[in-house]
Amino acid sequence: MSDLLEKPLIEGDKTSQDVTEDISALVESAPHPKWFALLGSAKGLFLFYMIVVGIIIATGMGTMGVNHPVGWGTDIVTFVFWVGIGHAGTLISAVLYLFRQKWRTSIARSAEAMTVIAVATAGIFPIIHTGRPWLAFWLFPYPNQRGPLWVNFRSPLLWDVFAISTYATVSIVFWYIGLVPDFATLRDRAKKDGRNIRHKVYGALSLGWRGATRHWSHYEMTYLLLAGLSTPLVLSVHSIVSFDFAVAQLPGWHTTIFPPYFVAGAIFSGFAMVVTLMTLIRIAVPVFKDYVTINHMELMNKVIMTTGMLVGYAYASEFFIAWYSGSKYEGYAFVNRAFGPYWWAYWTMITCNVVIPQLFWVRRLRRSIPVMFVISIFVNIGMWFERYVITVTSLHRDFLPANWGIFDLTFYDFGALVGSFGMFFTLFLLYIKFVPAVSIAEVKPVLGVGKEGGH
Amino acid sequence: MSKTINENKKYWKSLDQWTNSDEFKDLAEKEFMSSPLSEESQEGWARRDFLKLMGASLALGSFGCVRRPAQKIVPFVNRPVGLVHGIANHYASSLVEAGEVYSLVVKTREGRPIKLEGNDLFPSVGEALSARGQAQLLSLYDPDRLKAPLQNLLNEERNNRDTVKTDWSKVDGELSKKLSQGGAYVLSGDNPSKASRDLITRFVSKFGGKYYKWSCAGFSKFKDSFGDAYGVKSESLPRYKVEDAEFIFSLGTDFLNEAYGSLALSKSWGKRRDPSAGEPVRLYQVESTMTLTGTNADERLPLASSKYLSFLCAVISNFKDSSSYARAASLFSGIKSLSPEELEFARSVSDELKKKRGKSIVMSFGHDSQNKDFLEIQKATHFINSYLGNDGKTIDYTKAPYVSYNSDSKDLKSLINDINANRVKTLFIYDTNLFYNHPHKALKEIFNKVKTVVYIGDRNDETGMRAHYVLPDHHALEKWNEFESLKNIFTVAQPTISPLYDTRAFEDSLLQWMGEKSTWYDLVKETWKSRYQSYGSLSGYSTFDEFWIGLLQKGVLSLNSSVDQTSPVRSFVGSFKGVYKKSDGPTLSVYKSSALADGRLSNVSWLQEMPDPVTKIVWDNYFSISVEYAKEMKLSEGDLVEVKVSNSSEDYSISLPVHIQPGQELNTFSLAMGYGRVGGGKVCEGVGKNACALVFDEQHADVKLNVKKLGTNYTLANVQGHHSMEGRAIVNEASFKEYKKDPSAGIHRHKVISLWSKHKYPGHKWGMSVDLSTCTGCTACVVACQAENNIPVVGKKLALEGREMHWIRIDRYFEGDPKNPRTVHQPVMCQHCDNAPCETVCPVLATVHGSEGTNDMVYNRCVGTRYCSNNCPYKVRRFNWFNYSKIESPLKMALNPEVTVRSRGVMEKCTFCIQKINDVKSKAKLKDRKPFDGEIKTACQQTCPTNAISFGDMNDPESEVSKRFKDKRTYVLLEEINVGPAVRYMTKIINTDKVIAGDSHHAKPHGDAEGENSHKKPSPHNKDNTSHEGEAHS
Repeated sequence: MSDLLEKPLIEGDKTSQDVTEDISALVESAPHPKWFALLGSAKGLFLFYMIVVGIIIATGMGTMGVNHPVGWGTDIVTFVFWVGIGHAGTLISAVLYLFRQKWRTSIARSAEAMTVIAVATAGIFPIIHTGRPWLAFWLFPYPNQRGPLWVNFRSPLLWDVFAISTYATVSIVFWYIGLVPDFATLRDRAKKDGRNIRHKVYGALSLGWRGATRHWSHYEMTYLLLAGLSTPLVLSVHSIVSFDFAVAQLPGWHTTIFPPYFVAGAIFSGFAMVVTLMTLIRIAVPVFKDYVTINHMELMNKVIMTTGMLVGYAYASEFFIAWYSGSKYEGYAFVNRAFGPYWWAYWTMITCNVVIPQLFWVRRLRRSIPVMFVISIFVNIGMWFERYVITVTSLHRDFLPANWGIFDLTFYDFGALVGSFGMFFTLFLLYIKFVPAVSIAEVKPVLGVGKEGGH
Repeated sequence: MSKTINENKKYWKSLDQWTNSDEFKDLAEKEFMSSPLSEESQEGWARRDFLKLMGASLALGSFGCVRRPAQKIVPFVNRPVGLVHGIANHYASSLVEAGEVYSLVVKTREGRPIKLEGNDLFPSVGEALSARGQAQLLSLYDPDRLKAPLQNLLNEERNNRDTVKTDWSKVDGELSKKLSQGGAYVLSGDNPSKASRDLITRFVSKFGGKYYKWSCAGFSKFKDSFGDAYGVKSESLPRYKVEDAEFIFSLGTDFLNEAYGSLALSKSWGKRRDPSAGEPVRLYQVESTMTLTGTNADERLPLASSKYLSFLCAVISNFKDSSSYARAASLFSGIKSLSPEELEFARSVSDELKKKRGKSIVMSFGHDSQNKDFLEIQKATHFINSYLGNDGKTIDYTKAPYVSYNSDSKDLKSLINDINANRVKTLFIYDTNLFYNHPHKALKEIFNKVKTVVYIGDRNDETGMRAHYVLPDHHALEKWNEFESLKNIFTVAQPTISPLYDTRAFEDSLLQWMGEKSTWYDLVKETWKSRYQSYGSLSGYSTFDEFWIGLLQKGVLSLNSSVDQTSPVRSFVGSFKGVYKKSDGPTLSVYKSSALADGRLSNVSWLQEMPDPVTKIVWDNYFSISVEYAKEMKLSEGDLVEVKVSNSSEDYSISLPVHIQPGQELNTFSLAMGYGRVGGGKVCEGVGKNACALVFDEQHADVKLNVKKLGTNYTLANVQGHHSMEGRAIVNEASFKEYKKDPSAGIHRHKVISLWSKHKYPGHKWGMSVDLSTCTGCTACVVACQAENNIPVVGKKLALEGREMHWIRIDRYFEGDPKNPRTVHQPVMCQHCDNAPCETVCPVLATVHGSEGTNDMVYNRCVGTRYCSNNCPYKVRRFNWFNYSKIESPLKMALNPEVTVRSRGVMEKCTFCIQKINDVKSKAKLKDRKPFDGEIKTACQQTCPTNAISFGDMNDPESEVSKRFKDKRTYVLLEEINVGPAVRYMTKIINTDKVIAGDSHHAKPHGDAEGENSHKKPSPHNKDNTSHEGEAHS
């Protein structure tokens, strides 16, 4: 980080006033037609998604490609994919906060928003993938009148319910607490401009924040505690998601490496998604270039490269253990992964996740916006395929060869997968418009970083 | 009950209710009372879909609850004797399908038959029932059955489909007029009912006609061959006593599946294949089609049908006996056509036969032998049986042979003569679908000359469409009847439900037209009366009424004190000849598939979705071709070919996909009958093509073909994805010799340890044993399970997507050289594991461990995460991908009320027939005792003709299942993952001289990556190494 300290975190020689103006302007001014165009298309995709999901729920799981023996398909793959995306937000906002990484301030807000939205998007999938989604609430252990009927605490799916709901709750609270001072700023500015409705809405959202020292003192402590609370979640959520697979006895699922492997993968994909979004925001809103600088992007690319290699290590380790264990089922599962009917998925995954991020070794490439955008897209594709490879290739050929089958995506699989991006982008665009996309309160203290006479 | 909204109600919940629109009434009526059967459909938006999509808004609209409307169950004022709601009644009955008589116990609930079971008292078959026997139940409730008589307004060519409804009195009036002109002929299929035959004979003689019997793929030519061979004309077909045999040589005969009496043959096969009861009967099979029997053979040789006679001669010449030499001398030129491999196989057959004089069976009457030489092949076969002294020992001609097959292929020719001579004025076609099984133009043109054709059938099908009247008969389960299947073994058929539709027994119609007062029931009873008068002393009843009641209770009258008596030896007096003609290019072999046979049950969805035991394909017929032929012609699975058969008068061609079948003879195309129905009903319409179109003069095999590749592909629905065991120890095998040395031969045992203590089962602990030595793979259990457990049929599209619902499936694996592989069958159902992987992963406890070791499925609780299925190593769980419970009426009458009908989104699987367990347990409890061993029989076990499945209490050391578990031959499937299944398998013992298991299986370390292949190399000292069966696969 030594070279970072020499460079300013925020460019353009901003004053505190500039920061407030820059960021509030996004919320206060009428949106650019481009925003409407983007929202329109995202919303269209979202509507398509709702129709697809509606048909799936109304007609049955049979509309999707899942079958016997492949009981889990696109829904679970995409669920794990979106939950993984969410991880970067918590990592950036909580873990980096605890480690006093000041560069996080510019991207933390959007990363957190991405987390919340990604978890919301992910949360739909376990529900639609059940055979009777209208009864999916039975997975919650609530007091009921069905006799002493309780949930099965031994099932990883139940752990999943707890992990995801905890994660969603903590992420939302953490994100919201961070927003309170900024909402207050917007409220005050609205009052000044005489915008009544805006004043009332942001007034309610800012929970009576007056910026008093006592407020700040409580706020800092709360934020620190929440950061402390969120940090284990970064590790736990995807560990538990990985238990869905690791606890099963299916060859290809039943491996102890899954929890760290999944967490690494989640951070990997999450950072890739942040890079994708940030490059897009930088293009759409040029003022962001001052806040999310090329230095930020470079740091994130380093994380991507590192986690990419961790994931690559996990892939290699799985193969080694499959051979070393001597279990012929396990051995077959992995050979089948790489050279069976789904070889294309496996090699897509390897190429996208292990090979392509290696380009970031070159400084020029990791500081190039077009290069990092393309790579981040590849990483996201690769990580979707990673989950696809794990889920489908293990299930489609297990112990008894007579059961072996094949899984093909149907229109509804594609619809649910593509449509979920509609939901994600719709929510993200709304967030950009209505919520300060950079933390005003947190950026101001780091204005001096890299300047002479700074702190 | 239909009125649910009180129009004067003070309060209203919505404007809709207030205005009380029709739409609202409709909605309100359905609310909260949806039966699973009226749930969402796949087309259109049903109520629930609406709910699911717009749940929130509707919830707003329906604030405040309506009481569930009261549905009153009205008890009987006068309860019928013996009928208690909720208690099943069992009736003895019987039915006949294509000459095969099934003696049944019909289980009825509230007056409707829900399950067919074999009758214990029926000699040599007992409780067993074939898949088609089971499926007869569903044919009763077939929605496409005719509900009233029909009249077809035919044009000159009789190919139009203009139908008018008519009624019985009108039909009677019109037919009486026509009958008064005389010339009334009746054509029926095999008719094992003496009462019916006598009546028909009386009818035709009264109206100046004749009674002819013709059936598709009948056995009359076979019957005729006895006359030529022994000089005695035979009215019956011999009974093969597999139970007394030590060696069977079957030439193109699928005796476990499509022969007459195959159920009885399977039964005795099962008894003789249990290695603990001594050396199993050895079977050598030579055939061109890969058949079910072929897959069970100890040695098998694929041989073109054209070489059958030469092969028999080669067998005879190897007896090295001057008299036998002389018989076969004229054919020795043909022997030269056999390859060294084939000659070697013939020599080994001869060697075995010579060793097993009087204890062997040679049979060759199957479809594969029905080529131009059929009669000669039969005579040569009779010669061998006679020469070896098998006649009268293992082959029974006199005591209890089959008499139910009484059709005659010559009858059709006689009928044609009569028609051409203008003698036939009114023709009644009964119980044979002539124009389906004989769809040739020439025949149709001849029959167009008949002024009035009356078809007595249950639908307006191929024959119905060409008949002026289609008069529906009762279904066999609605009708009185009596049958004689084996000589002196009689069964009675009594109606178990009153006719569902406006149908009338054919015999009642005949009586009506003859102007007689008596009814068909009277005639049936009279037939029994005369029997009672002749044999009454044997029955042990003092009056006829007592006898009659006793008969109706038992269903069977067997006048042979034992069917196992031997009969006198016959001597061969005939001769056989024939000239071998070299056959080039592809030839066709048309066979009866085990599901559909001759096509009369093809509208039964259970059978359409029953995986073929050999190919595992559902919902289609296809040409099975050999691996080499496919390679040579560059054909891949599902490629469409057009096949043309030329006859002197007409050419027929059909286009069908090919299926590449390991074990198929090089140039043989095999095609199943029973498909390609027209007017057969919604289920079978458009499924496959009619193979009968390619059969001329009853030549089923060695039919010359012209094959044209069409260049397009068609997807066949194969329910098994993979056909090799991949070197995994799934089906363990050993030769009988190896088994004798070490009863554990072939089993790779694992040492399993667990950190946890085991479940405790203080009461019962149910277990099941499956003997792979006796299982033939016939798939009857699959259909029996389907009938017992309300298992839905999903159709071809979903079967193709891997969504078939069978709770028990038969895994079939091939091993070795694909030209002639060894085949194994393995029934796999829920293994009811002690450490069930499915139980731990279900988040809502929808699948839980029962106190008696069963793994129970709570359908109501299941939300459908499918995690259990993913975690099941045997993949026996089935998911309701759509709402399969929406069943057309009256098919739902076949549902078993003791088994929940599953709605969509719910997982299901084998329950060990828990409803049967509980039924027997409560009955036993009423008598204050425990269920005794064998009292509980699961549906699969009960129907199994070979007794391969045994079920019982593992806690009872004396139970059969406990004894079987102690047998060294028992092993646990996937033992190494330590799930502790309650289902265990017994090694398949093959009676061959080859090395099957090898000797190193115990020494192998656990988890050996090389798998079992490595210890299956043939030993260099093995004499039989030169034979056809390529054993080693690298």
